Amino acid sequence: MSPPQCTDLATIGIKSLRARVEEDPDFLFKYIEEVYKIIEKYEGVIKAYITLRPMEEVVREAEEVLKRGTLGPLGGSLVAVKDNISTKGIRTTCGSKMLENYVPPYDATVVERIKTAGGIIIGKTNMDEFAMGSTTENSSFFPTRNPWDLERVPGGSSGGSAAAVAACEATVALGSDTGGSIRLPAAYTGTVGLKPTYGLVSRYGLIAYASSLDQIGPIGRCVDDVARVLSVIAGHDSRDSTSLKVEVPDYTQFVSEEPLRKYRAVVIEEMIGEGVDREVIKVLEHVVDKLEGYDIEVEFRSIPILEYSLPAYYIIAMAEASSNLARYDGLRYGIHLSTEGLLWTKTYAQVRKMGFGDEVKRRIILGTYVLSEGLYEGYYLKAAKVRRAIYDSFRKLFSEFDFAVSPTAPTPPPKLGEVVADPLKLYSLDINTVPVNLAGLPAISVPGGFVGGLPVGIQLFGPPLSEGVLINVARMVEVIVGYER
Amino acid sequence: MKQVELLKKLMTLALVEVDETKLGGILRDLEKIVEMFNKILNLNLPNDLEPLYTTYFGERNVREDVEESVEESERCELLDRELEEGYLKAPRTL
Amino acid sequence: MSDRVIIGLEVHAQITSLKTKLFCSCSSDYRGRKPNTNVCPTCLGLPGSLPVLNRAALEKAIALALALNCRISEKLIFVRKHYFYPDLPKNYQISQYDRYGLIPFAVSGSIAIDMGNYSKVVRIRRINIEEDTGRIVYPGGSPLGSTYSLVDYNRAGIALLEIVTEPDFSNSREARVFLEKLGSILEHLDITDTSLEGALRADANISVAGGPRVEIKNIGSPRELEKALNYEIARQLNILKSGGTLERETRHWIKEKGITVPSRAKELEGDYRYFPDPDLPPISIPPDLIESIKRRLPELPDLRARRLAEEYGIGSYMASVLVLNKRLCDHFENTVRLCGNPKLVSSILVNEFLRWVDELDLDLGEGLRRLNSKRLCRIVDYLEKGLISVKLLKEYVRRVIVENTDPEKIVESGMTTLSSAEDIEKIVEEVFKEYPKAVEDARRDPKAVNFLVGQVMKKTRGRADPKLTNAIILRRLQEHESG
Repeated sequence: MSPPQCTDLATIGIKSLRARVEEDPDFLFKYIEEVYKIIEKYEGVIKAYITLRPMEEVVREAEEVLKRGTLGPLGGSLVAVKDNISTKGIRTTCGSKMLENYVPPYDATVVERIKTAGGIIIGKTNMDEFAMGSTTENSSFFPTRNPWDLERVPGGSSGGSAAAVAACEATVALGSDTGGSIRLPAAYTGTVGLKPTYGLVSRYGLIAYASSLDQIGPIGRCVDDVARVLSVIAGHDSRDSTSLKVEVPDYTQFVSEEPLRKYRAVVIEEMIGEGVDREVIKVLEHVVDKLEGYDIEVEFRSIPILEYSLPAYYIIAMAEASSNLARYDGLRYGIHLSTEGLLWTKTYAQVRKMGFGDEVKRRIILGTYVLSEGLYEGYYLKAAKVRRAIYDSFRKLFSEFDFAVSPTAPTPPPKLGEVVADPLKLYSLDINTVPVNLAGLPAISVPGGFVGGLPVGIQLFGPPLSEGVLINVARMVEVIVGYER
Repeated sequence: MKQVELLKKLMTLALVEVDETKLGGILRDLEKIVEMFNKILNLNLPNDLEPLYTTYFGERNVREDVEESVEESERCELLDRELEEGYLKAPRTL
Repeated sequence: MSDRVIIGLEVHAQITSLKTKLFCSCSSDYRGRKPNTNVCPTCLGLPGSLPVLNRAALEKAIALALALNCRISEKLIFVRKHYFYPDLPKNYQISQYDRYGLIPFAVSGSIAIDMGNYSKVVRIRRINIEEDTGRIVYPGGSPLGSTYSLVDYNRAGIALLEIVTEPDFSNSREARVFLEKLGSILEHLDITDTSLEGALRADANISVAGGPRVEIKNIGSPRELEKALNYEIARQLNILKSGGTLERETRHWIKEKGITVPSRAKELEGDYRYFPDPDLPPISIPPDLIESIKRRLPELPDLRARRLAEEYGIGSYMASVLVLNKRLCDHFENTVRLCGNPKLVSSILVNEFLRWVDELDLDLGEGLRRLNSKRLCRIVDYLEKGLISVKLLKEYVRRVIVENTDPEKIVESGMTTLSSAEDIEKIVEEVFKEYPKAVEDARRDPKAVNFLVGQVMKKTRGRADPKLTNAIILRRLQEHESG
């Protein structure tokens, strides 16, 4: 189940790659060459990368990885990193003109960990500007195309990461997920994407969109790859005050084709309601049927408050964004204007006018609106209360069930230009993914089948720190839909 | 008309500007989104429901008061700008 | 129309005893460094950087809250306060807030001040923990004279305690004494070295004769505070007297010129859009932490004043003035340990030393270095031995402070009380010859004796021991009579 760009060699996962390299170190160079061949052939059309590292540089780093005593858990994997994750010495644009030439002086914690684990950064992937979008069309530079159908979007905002993985232009990728930005592109590109429990993965070095919702997570072609990357990047980081101090297991132990224990699952009625494509629901039904065959009980429940998750999510996300993006004034980094004689407010306004795209401006203005004097209580505070209500509902739900299952996206991937012009249409793509972020829960999107030749993703989510369960069930879904590796 | 003024006020507050010609379009989009937001205005929630600002549930993360040794040259490189005797040049202020 | 003055203060005290900044591991000792070298991704607000609270900052804040009898919140909730300014790297400041269900760090405290003839309890509205900004310098010397500004972020992120009072002051003197006492409390708690430039700063809100509230920013010391308030009160009264009206505004104190000027454009005074900082989840402040800090609290100024009065037998007002400055107070105790005589030492420090330090605009630490314990004891010793009179003692203190010289040098210059009867005898004889009529008068009228004593003093430039001089003159007058 790979798009046409992939070759057998390039489709290889971390586990096999590592095993082959252990046997024969030269295999790593063959593999790198193969990936760069695909990039050379297709990247011009797909445009997954904003910054691609030259092959020589990657080969040099591979040599260093091989010289180390041990291969590390990632064993020379080529990791594509979303361009809102800071990489020391490698330009990090956040998909924005504002940071077009910004080169971070430090590595994000996840990047440090990837490198230590023997991963090699292959490049920085395209994204909606400041992660604000669901199609990657809001990139300041260019849209990315879906490897399965070049007329369609790869989803967003981690569209570049998902497309790079799907088209075998990388082994695995890192994305970030604020309201679905890992899961939606995973669903649209037939890949596996995991958004961890809030606080499981350090945000240090992640350029913030909405800090209380953002999480970094892996995207891979199979559940096993995602489990391996998660094992590397998860765990406490003293540089992030929202980082959880928890024991991180080796998540590959959960990659099992059989249930590791008896599970009870739930389908939330609001997530298969109006607006969700009939064909998509059929894909879900097929998967649910098969899961019941594994002795998993599946029940239906209604959570009416979810009707308010979209406005609550966008109010909170935009409020935080308006604050997080205040620092981009052109003074210390980012685009620079020589403005002697002009007042700072004028200079800043000019820099921000030039540097930010329309969607970013919309969200900053609205975020400013909902936080402003007199409106705060009606919008921001109320949204935070809705968030509490959603959080409480899920807590109650997951005292009864081990995980929930839903379509990741309401429809198969739209065509380029189809939704981006209408913000409400764009926002509604996130209808099933945002409640998970509001509650800080872990979720995974795994391919569930195809509709009209286009991939459809199934979302599994559960209580905090249930990543193991989700990985186990996701692996079962892979088997159900005939994923072979 | 009033809406345009509000929009301009917000743009001044947030220091983001758009071209005059785009104002109408932006305003239309914003109104649609605000209408979506307004859905929560009339929602009745229990009075004692506490707002939730973060889902972080771990213990408190604080730092010990220990200086990190960093090379001065490394610190200098943090500002990727032309400096005037070490100072960062900034626009005129009041 | 009454000229009633109402003043409230907003004080910012740097926690200078910390080793690092509030949210990052950069040094808190930023003074005297090359610009922009005491920085890191976090205090520069680089994309992706995150704040982590310095545990010691919280503990210092708790100590202050306890010392000011505040109620400490169960949770520390950080919020972001937004405004655009080049000295603010993230264009928001991390602080606390008291609306929308958010809470200040601590509330409802008090500080008692002793004004000599009356005392007063000043209410503390709240204490917050927040981050300092960078520093802006102007290539043209002033904002208006510069086409650009220059920023140094070395100070950005330094831990600050914000202490806000209720509008409880009715004159500038009270405000000054309050700020001195607060500074002393901060010194005693080892929170702030108030002698460091910019470590203790105040903004004052002032309303005169029921007029609008005017905020004065940028006041750097208790002494400056008194001056700024006096200037501002006079300015406002002048406007009112000439029939003008006052407006609600923010003004800047220009220390060098001794005036206040209208400040930053309205652009800054907008809507700060406070909301909880999502990067810093609320931090619970456990009662046992508060208890353990309470147990370790050092002796604070009020208790110390009581002890000084008891232990040394000095007056309670004298003691209350001494404890307004920890170093002055330490100096007092050190000196007394060396040479006793607490009443005289305290009187010298409070009545003479403080006056000269103020008059000369001298840094208190420098003043203390000049009038160090050794020198002070020497002067006390001279007085006890009768080498100098009380009058000369004052002159000695003045010269030691002004000239930074040893008392021994002053003695060598011959400035001592003439205490040998022989020497005085000679001068009295001269005076008797020069003023025979006055001598006659003095025989009849004892009051006229003073004139003769005065003449002796004049001839000796005040060095003659007055008591001895008086006795000699009286004896001679009697001898004349009988002889």
